[in-house]
Amino acid sequence: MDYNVIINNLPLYLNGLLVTIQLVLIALVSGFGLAVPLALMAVSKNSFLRYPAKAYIYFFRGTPLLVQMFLLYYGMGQF
Amino acid sequence: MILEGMALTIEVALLSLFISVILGLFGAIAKLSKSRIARSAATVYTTLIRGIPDLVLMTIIFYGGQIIVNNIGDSLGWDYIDISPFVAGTLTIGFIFGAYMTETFRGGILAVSSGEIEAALAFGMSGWKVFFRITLPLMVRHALPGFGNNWMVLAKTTALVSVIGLHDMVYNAGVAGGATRQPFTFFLVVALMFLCITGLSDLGLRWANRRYSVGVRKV
Repeated sequence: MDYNVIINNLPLYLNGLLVTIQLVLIALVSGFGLAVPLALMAVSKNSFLRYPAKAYIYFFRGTPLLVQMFLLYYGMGQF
Repeated sequence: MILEGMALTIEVALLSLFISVILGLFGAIAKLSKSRIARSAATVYTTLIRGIPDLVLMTIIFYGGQIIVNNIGDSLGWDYIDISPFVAGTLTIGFIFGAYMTETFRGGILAVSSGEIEAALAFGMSGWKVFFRITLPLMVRHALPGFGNNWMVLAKTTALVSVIGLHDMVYNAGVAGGATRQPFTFFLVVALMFLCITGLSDLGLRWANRRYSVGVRKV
Protein backbone atom coordinates (compact mmCIF):
# COMPACT_ATOMS: atom_id res chain seq x y z
CA MET A 1 0.00 0.00 0.00
CA ASP A 2 1.19 3.52 -0.82
CA TYR A 3 1.16 5.55 2.36
CA ASN A 4 2.51 8.65 0.63
CA VAL A 5 -0.94 9.27 -0.81
CA ILE A 6 -2.25 9.78 2.69
CA ILE A 7 0.56 12.12 3.70
CA ASN A 8 0.35 14.14 0.49
CA ASN A 9 -3.36 14.65 0.96
CA LEU A 10 -3.22 15.52 4.63
CA PRO A 11 -4.52 19.10 4.10
CA LEU A 12 -7.55 17.64 2.35
CA TYR A 13 -8.25 15.44 5.35
CA LEU A 14 -7.83 18.35 7.74
CA ASN A 15 -10.32 20.43 5.77
CA GLY A 16 -12.76 17.55 5.97
CA LEU A 17 -12.14 17.23 9.69
CA LEU A 18 -13.02 20.89 10.11
CA VAL A 19 -16.32 20.35 8.28
CA THR A 20 -17.02 17.29 10.45
CA ILE A 21 -16.44 19.27 13.64
CA GLN A 22 -18.62 22.09 12.34
CA LEU A 23 -21.42 19.63 11.55
CA VAL A 24 -21.16 18.01 14.96
CA LEU A 25 -21.34 21.33 16.80
CA ILE A 26 -24.21 22.76 14.74
CA ALA A 27 -26.18 19.52 14.99
CA LEU A 28 -25.55 19.31 18.72
CA VAL A 29 -26.71 22.85 19.41
CA SER A 30 -29.76 22.73 17.13
CA GLY A 31 -30.62 19.25 18.38
CA PHE A 32 -30.53 20.50 21.94
CA GLY A 33 -32.65 23.50 20.95
CA LEU A 34 -35.27 21.16 19.45
CA ALA A 35 -35.09 18.55 22.16
CA VAL A 36 -35.94 20.71 25.14
CA PRO A 37 -39.26 22.10 23.83
CA LEU A 38 -40.17 18.68 22.37
CA ALA A 39 -39.46 16.96 25.68
CA LEU A 40 -41.70 19.48 27.43
CA MET A 41 -44.41 18.86 24.83
CA ALA A 42 -44.10 15.08 25.21
CA VAL A 43 -44.79 15.26 28.95
CA SER A 44 -47.49 17.94 28.65
CA LYS A 45 -51.04 17.23 29.83
CA ASN A 46 -52.44 18.84 26.69
CA SER A 47 -52.88 16.11 24.06
CA PHE A 48 -52.65 18.63 21.19
CA LEU A 49 -49.07 19.23 22.27
CA ARG A 50 -48.26 15.68 23.32
CA TYR A 51 -49.28 13.74 20.20
CA PRO A 52 -47.33 15.80 17.63
CA ALA A 53 -44.23 15.47 19.79
CA LYS A 54 -44.76 11.71 20.16
CA ALA A 55 -45.29 11.35 16.39
CA TYR A 56 -42.11 13.31 15.70
CA ILE A 57 -40.13 11.10 18.10
CA TYR A 58 -41.63 7.90 16.67
CA PHE A 59 -40.90 8.85 13.07
CA PHE A 60 -37.33 10.01 13.52
CA ARG A 61 -36.31 7.20 15.85
CA GLY A 62 -37.91 4.53 13.67
CA THR A 63 -36.44 5.45 10.28
CA PRO A 64 -32.80 5.29 9.15
CA LEU A 65 -30.78 8.48 9.10
CA LEU A 66 -29.77 7.81 5.49
CA VAL A 67 -33.39 7.63 4.38
CA GLN A 68 -34.21 10.85 6.26
CA MET A 69 -31.33 12.59 4.56
CA PHE A 70 -32.31 11.30 1.11
CA LEU A 71 -35.91 12.30 1.79
CA LEU A 72 -34.88 15.83 2.59
CA TYR A 73 -32.10 16.33 0.05
CA TYR A 74 -33.33 14.45 -3.04
CA GLY A 75 -36.99 14.49 -2.03
CA MET A 76 -37.24 18.26 -1.94
CA GLY A 77 -36.44 18.34 -5.67
CA GLN A 78 -39.90 16.92 -6.32
CA PHE A 79 -41.70 20.08 -5.25
CA MET B 1 -39.75 -3.29 -6.49
CA ILE B 2 -39.79 -1.71 -3.07
CA LEU B 3 -41.14 -4.96 -1.65
CA GLU B 4 -38.32 -6.93 -3.28
CA GLY B 5 -35.93 -4.50 -1.66
CA MET B 6 -37.68 -4.97 1.65
CA ALA B 7 -37.15 -8.74 1.47
CA LEU B 8 -33.44 -8.11 0.94
CA THR B 9 -33.35 -5.56 3.77
CA ILE B 10 -34.91 -8.08 6.16
CA GLU B 11 -32.57 -10.80 4.93
CA VAL B 12 -29.50 -8.65 5.57
CA ALA B 13 -30.87 -7.58 8.94
CA LEU B 14 -31.60 -11.11 10.19
CA LEU B 15 -28.32 -12.58 8.96
CA SER B 16 -26.26 -9.82 10.52
CA LEU B 17 -28.29 -10.12 13.72
CA PHE B 18 -27.29 -13.79 13.84
CA ILE B 19 -23.61 -12.92 13.32
CA SER B 20 -23.75 -10.15 15.90
CA VAL B 21 -25.35 -12.36 18.56
CA ILE B 22 -22.63 -15.01 18.13
CA LEU B 23 -19.88 -12.39 18.18
CA GLY B 24 -21.56 -10.67 21.13
CA LEU B 25 -21.66 -13.90 23.16
CA PHE B 26 -18.01 -14.63 22.47
CA GLY B 27 -17.12 -11.00 23.17
CA ALA B 28 -18.98 -11.00 26.47
CA ILE B 29 -17.37 -14.28 27.57
CA ALA B 30 -13.96 -12.88 26.59
CA LYS B 31 -14.56 -9.64 28.47
CA LEU B 32 -15.50 -11.51 31.63
CA SER B 33 -12.82 -14.18 31.36
CA LYS B 34 -9.84 -14.46 33.65
CA SER B 35 -7.40 -14.41 30.74
CA ARG B 36 -5.93 -10.97 30.25
CA ILE B 37 -5.31 -11.59 26.52
CA ALA B 38 -8.96 -12.45 25.86
CA ARG B 39 -10.09 -9.46 27.90
CA SER B 40 -7.89 -6.96 26.13
CA ALA B 41 -8.67 -8.42 22.69
CA ALA B 42 -12.38 -7.95 23.37
CA THR B 43 -11.79 -4.43 24.67
CA VAL B 44 -9.83 -3.47 21.56
CA TYR B 45 -12.64 -4.90 19.40
CA THR B 46 -15.44 -2.99 21.12
CA THR B 47 -13.53 0.29 21.45
CA LEU B 48 -12.42 0.22 17.82
CA ILE B 49 -15.83 -0.61 16.40
CA ARG B 50 -17.76 1.82 18.57
CA GLY B 51 -15.37 4.62 17.66
CA ILE B 52 -15.63 4.30 13.87
CA PRO B 53 -18.72 5.30 11.85
CA ASP B 54 -20.64 2.38 10.28
CA LEU B 55 -20.34 3.87 6.82
CA VAL B 56 -16.55 4.17 7.04
CA LEU B 57 -16.20 0.57 8.26
CA MET B 58 -18.48 -0.71 5.54
CA THR B 59 -16.56 1.01 2.75
CA ILE B 60 -13.24 -0.13 4.24
CA ILE B 61 -14.40 -3.74 4.39
CA PHE B 62 -16.08 -3.66 0.97
CA TYR B 63 -13.33 -1.92 -1.03
CA GLY B 64 -10.34 -2.75 1.17
CA GLY B 65 -11.43 -6.30 1.94
CA GLN B 66 -11.64 -7.01 -1.78
CA ILE B 67 -8.02 -5.93 -2.26
CA ILE B 68 -6.71 -7.78 0.79
CA VAL B 69 -8.49 -11.03 -0.04
CA ASN B 70 -7.18 -10.96 -3.58
CA ASN B 71 -3.65 -10.05 -2.48
CA ILE B 72 -3.67 -13.09 -0.23
CA GLY B 73 -5.34 -15.12 -2.95
CA ASP B 74 -2.71 -14.09 -5.51
CA SER B 75 0.15 -15.27 -3.34
CA LEU B 76 -1.60 -18.58 -2.77
CA GLY B 77 -2.43 -18.93 -6.45
CA TRP B 78 -6.22 -18.67 -6.13
CA ASP B 79 -8.50 -17.28 -8.79
CA TYR B 80 -9.93 -13.80 -8.47
CA ILE B 81 -12.41 -13.71 -5.61
CA ASP B 82 -15.31 -11.31 -5.87
CA ILE B 83 -16.68 -10.08 -2.55
CA SER B 84 -20.31 -9.30 -3.17
CA PRO B 85 -21.89 -6.25 -1.56
CA PHE B 86 -24.28 -8.65 0.18
CA VAL B 87 -21.48 -10.54 1.92
CA ALA B 88 -19.53 -7.38 2.73
CA GLY B 89 -22.61 -5.56 4.02
CA THR B 90 -23.91 -8.43 6.13
CA LEU B 91 -20.50 -9.19 7.62
CA THR B 92 -19.82 -5.53 8.40
CA ILE B 93 -23.16 -4.95 10.10
CA GLY B 94 -22.81 -8.21 12.02
CA PHE B 95 -19.28 -7.24 13.00
CA ILE B 96 -20.31 -3.75 14.16
CA PHE B 97 -23.29 -4.88 16.18
CA GLY B 98 -21.29 -7.76 17.64
CA ALA B 99 -19.46 -5.04 19.57
CA TYR B 100 -22.69 -3.49 20.85
CA MET B 101 -24.07 -6.92 21.69
CA THR B 102 -20.88 -7.69 23.61
CA GLU B 103 -21.57 -4.78 25.95
CA THR B 104 -25.25 -5.69 26.29
CA PHE B 105 -24.55 -9.35 27.04
CA ARG B 106 -21.71 -8.47 29.40
CA GLY B 107 -24.10 -6.33 31.43
CA GLY B 108 -26.71 -9.09 31.35
CA ILE B 109 -24.29 -11.76 32.54
CA LEU B 110 -23.03 -9.52 35.33
CA ALA B 111 -26.60 -8.97 36.49
CA VAL B 112 -27.15 -12.70 37.08
CA SER B 113 -26.78 -13.18 40.81
CA SER B 114 -23.63 -15.05 41.73
CA GLY B 115 -25.61 -17.24 44.12
CA GLU B 116 -27.33 -18.94 41.18
CA ILE B 117 -23.98 -19.75 39.60
CA GLU B 118 -22.49 -20.97 42.88
CA ALA B 119 -25.51 -23.20 43.38
CA ALA B 120 -25.08 -24.68 39.91
CA LEU B 121 -21.39 -25.29 40.55
CA ALA B 122 -22.26 -26.91 43.88
CA PHE B 123 -24.47 -29.35 41.95
CA GLY B 124 -21.36 -30.43 40.10
CA MET B 125 -22.12 -28.80 36.75
CA SER B 126 -19.13 -28.04 34.55
CA GLY B 127 -18.28 -24.44 33.63
CA TRP B 128 -19.87 -24.65 30.17
CA LYS B 129 -22.94 -26.40 31.49
CA VAL B 130 -23.41 -23.65 34.06
CA PHE B 131 -23.09 -21.07 31.32
CA PHE B 132 -25.60 -22.62 28.93
CA ARG B 133 -28.14 -23.90 31.48
CA ILE B 134 -28.03 -21.19 34.15
CA THR B 135 -26.26 -17.99 33.17
CA LEU B 136 -27.56 -17.73 29.61
CA PRO B 137 -31.29 -18.21 30.32
CA LEU B 138 -31.15 -15.96 33.38
CA MET B 139 -29.21 -13.30 31.52
CA VAL B 140 -31.87 -12.94 28.82
CA ARG B 141 -34.17 -10.90 31.04
CA HIS B 142 -31.45 -8.36 31.80
CA ALA B 143 -30.09 -8.21 28.26
CA LEU B 144 -33.44 -8.02 26.46
CA PRO B 145 -34.04 -4.24 26.57
CA GLY B 146 -30.52 -3.52 25.31
CA PHE B 147 -30.81 -6.31 22.77
CA GLY B 148 -34.05 -4.86 21.43
CA ASN B 149 -32.48 -1.44 21.11
CA ASN B 150 -29.52 -2.93 19.23
CA TRP B 151 -31.80 -4.85 16.90
CA MET B 152 -33.75 -1.75 15.91
CA VAL B 153 -30.61 0.28 15.31
CA LEU B 154 -29.25 -2.65 13.31
CA ALA B 155 -32.38 -2.84 11.17
CA LYS B 156 -32.01 0.85 10.38
CA THR B 157 -28.31 0.51 9.69
CA THR B 158 -29.06 -1.91 6.86
CA ALA B 159 -30.05 1.18 4.85
CA LEU B 160 -26.31 1.75 4.44
CA VAL B 161 -25.88 -1.32 2.21
CA SER B 162 -27.47 0.71 -0.58
CA VAL B 163 -24.31 2.82 -0.61
CA ILE B 164 -22.11 -0.15 -1.55
CA GLY B 165 -24.51 -1.05 -4.36
CA LEU B 166 -26.80 -3.66 -2.86
CA HIS B 167 -30.31 -3.39 -4.31
CA ASP B 168 -32.17 -2.98 -1.05
CA MET B 169 -35.24 -0.83 -0.35
CA VAL B 170 -33.30 2.42 -0.24
CA TYR B 171 -31.38 1.73 -3.45
CA ASN B 172 -34.52 0.73 -5.33
CA ALA B 173 -36.35 3.80 -4.09
CA GLY B 174 -33.49 5.96 -5.34
CA VAL B 175 -33.67 4.39 -8.79
CA ALA B 176 -37.45 4.55 -8.97
CA GLY B 177 -37.50 8.08 -7.59
CA GLY B 178 -34.97 9.23 -10.17
CA ALA B 179 -36.83 7.60 -13.08
CA THR B 180 -40.23 8.96 -12.13
CA ARG B 181 -38.94 12.27 -10.73
CA GLN B 182 -40.81 11.58 -7.52
CA PRO B 183 -38.00 10.90 -5.06
CA PHE B 184 -39.93 12.27 -2.11
CA THR B 185 -42.81 9.85 -2.61
CA PHE B 186 -40.52 6.84 -2.95
CA PHE B 187 -38.29 7.67 -0.01
CA LEU B 188 -41.34 8.39 2.13
CA VAL B 189 -42.64 4.89 1.36
CA VAL B 190 -39.27 3.45 2.38
CA ALA B 191 -39.31 5.47 5.60
CA LEU B 192 -42.78 4.09 6.38
CA MET B 193 -41.60 0.54 5.64
CA PHE B 194 -38.78 0.97 8.12
CA LEU B 195 -41.29 2.37 10.58
CA CYS B 196 -43.31 -0.84 10.14
CA ILE B 197 -40.24 -2.99 10.86
CA THR B 198 -39.25 -1.04 13.95
CA GLY B 199 -42.83 -0.63 15.16
CA LEU B 200 -43.57 -4.36 14.90
CA SER B 201 -40.25 -5.22 16.53
CA ASP B 202 -41.10 -2.88 19.38
CA LEU B 203 -44.38 -4.73 19.98
CA GLY B 204 -42.65 -8.12 19.78
CA LEU B 205 -39.94 -7.06 22.18
CA ARG B 206 -42.41 -5.72 24.69
CA TRP B 207 -44.17 -9.06 24.62
CA ALA B 208 -40.86 -10.93 25.06
CA ASN B 209 -39.95 -8.60 27.89
CA ARG B 210 -43.20 -9.43 29.68
CA ARG B 211 -42.63 -13.16 29.19
CA TYR B 212 -39.11 -13.11 30.56
CA SER B 213 -40.08 -10.94 33.51
CA VAL B 214 -42.82 -13.33 34.68
CA GLY B 215 -42.56 -13.72 38.40
CA VAL B 216 -40.10 -10.88 38.75
CA ARG B 217 -42.04 -7.69 38.18
CA LYS B 218 -45.15 -6.38 36.55
CA VAL B 219 -44.39 -4.56 33.31
